Amino acid sequence: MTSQRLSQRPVSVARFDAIGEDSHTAPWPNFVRHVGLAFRPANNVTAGTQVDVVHMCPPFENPGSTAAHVVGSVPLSSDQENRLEMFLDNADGEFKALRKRVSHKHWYCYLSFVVRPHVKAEPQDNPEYHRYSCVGFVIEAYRSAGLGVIETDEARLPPVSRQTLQEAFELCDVVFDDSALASWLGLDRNERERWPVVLPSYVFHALNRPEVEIKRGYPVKPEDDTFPSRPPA
Amino acid sequence: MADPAIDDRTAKQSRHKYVGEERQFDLPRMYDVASPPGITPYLQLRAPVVAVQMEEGSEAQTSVGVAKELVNALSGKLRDPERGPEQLAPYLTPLPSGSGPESQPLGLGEAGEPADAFLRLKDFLENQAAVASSILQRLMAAQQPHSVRRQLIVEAEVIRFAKEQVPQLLSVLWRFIESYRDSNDVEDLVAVGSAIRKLVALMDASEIGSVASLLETGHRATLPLETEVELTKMIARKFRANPPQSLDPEPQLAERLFGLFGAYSSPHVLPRGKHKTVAMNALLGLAGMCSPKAEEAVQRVNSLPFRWFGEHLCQELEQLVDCWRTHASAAEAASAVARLESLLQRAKLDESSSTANSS
Repeated sequence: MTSQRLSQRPVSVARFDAIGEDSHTAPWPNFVRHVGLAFRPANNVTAGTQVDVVHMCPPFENPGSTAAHVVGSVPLSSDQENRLEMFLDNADGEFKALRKRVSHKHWYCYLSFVVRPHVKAEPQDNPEYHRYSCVGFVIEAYRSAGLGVIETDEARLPPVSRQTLQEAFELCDVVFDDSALASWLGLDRNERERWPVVLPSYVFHALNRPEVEIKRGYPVKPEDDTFPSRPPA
Repeated sequence: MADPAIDDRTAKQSRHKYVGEERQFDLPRMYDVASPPGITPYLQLRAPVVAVQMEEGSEAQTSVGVAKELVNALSGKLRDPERGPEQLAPYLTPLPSGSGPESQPLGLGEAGEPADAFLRLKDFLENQAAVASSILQRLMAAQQPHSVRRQLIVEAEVIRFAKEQVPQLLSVLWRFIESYRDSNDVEDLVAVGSAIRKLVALMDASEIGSVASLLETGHRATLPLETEVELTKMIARKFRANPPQSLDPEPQLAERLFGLFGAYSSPHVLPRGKHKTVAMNALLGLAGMCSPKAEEAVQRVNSLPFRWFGEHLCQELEQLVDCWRTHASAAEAASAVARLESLLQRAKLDESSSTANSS
């Protein structure tokens, strides 16, 4: 299993490979702002090629498209694909309803979106549907196929600052200045304004390991907010 | 014409009336839709009196609320090819270009600026109770067109309703599911899925057995797979969130789930499309209600030539055991956990023997 940053050299992607799009506004280069699963195999993919993906945009799109800057290859067996398809089948109805709501009122897309944790059942005591971040959707899909991908226990995740979230993801002041909105997205106010958010780039570090290791969760390091990693501070 | 902007403070002090079938918002003058500081108003309303057909029971609480509903209603009509945008265009005037970044009408299904969308989400979070009341009223109105009711059902899925509203909502949802669960209209099935998720999540765990009748075949046509996925998924989720107080509490429901599992666990059918998902969900529902049928189903899994199905079952059962151990009170879930652990051991044994056989 490998992850690679794309150049002008064409590569092929397989169904369910992880496709990452860079942020153009992040405070440092190689910051991945979005990730989705390749909807179908594609050839001749170079940096910036639009690739069909299944992803939580938001809203969820099946398929939508994203610009490919990083690819994480996951040579899933047909058995694993079957298991991942069951996850998609179960999510399908929830996402179709989400699309229907969003076509009526666009802001509904954020009602089914969450930043932290990466996936959240609503309501938690008797779940009706799930909210995902873009990376949350990818992680849960891989987990359904038996891949651990990332250690998402918050105690083991590096904190991400408000400044990084604002710059890289264009989360606006409105979110951080309003306690109800911030809380809805899982970014409850705290003095340090840092949160253990799962960033899209972590998926590519996780997939860039031998196959036997990928079944276990990847322990994220603070410098993994880019792919490849930045030099440690 | 000098037109004062209405801010939230003044808006809360004034109310506007609906008049007649074509209800009229009595807007005394043209005004901007008020926006919080730093956010560019995205359009202006230019009508002293604007007639807008609203849904029965829809009610705005403030004049800003009126303005926003008006915008939504007009935006909806702009999408209606029969009405045509030209009829309503005079009422919707985007601010001159350059007056703000990306100023554009929202509610047209296009991506707006995140700030605008987040502000609408904020409005919603603050006024969810009013939205819930409005949606419930409109859902219960007898004369509601089907397409509107269907959209309301889908919206209701993500709204939190007050405890006292739940019985009325459940009754509406049940009627909708019964009527449209085997529809051949894709849009209906999306709404049926929403209704099923809301219904099962809101209903008391002790009433889950009633869902068995929705799994009946031969209503008008075969249930669509999408509907079966939602029903079986939600039954499994219900028991995951509410461990059974006694073993096999819903034998009739178990019978129906086992029937579905049996129908779809044939090696010729299981790997195709969503059959595998319905079969897995049905089995997890059986396991969740500690039905003896679950053991039979696990035995059948062992006889299948699909090792992945058994692996997935073990992963799901492990998660269910963890969930019950973590969230349910020990006394409440002890026997259910013990039963489930035994089933898991059985599944693992079967899985390893299946592996040995295949190798």
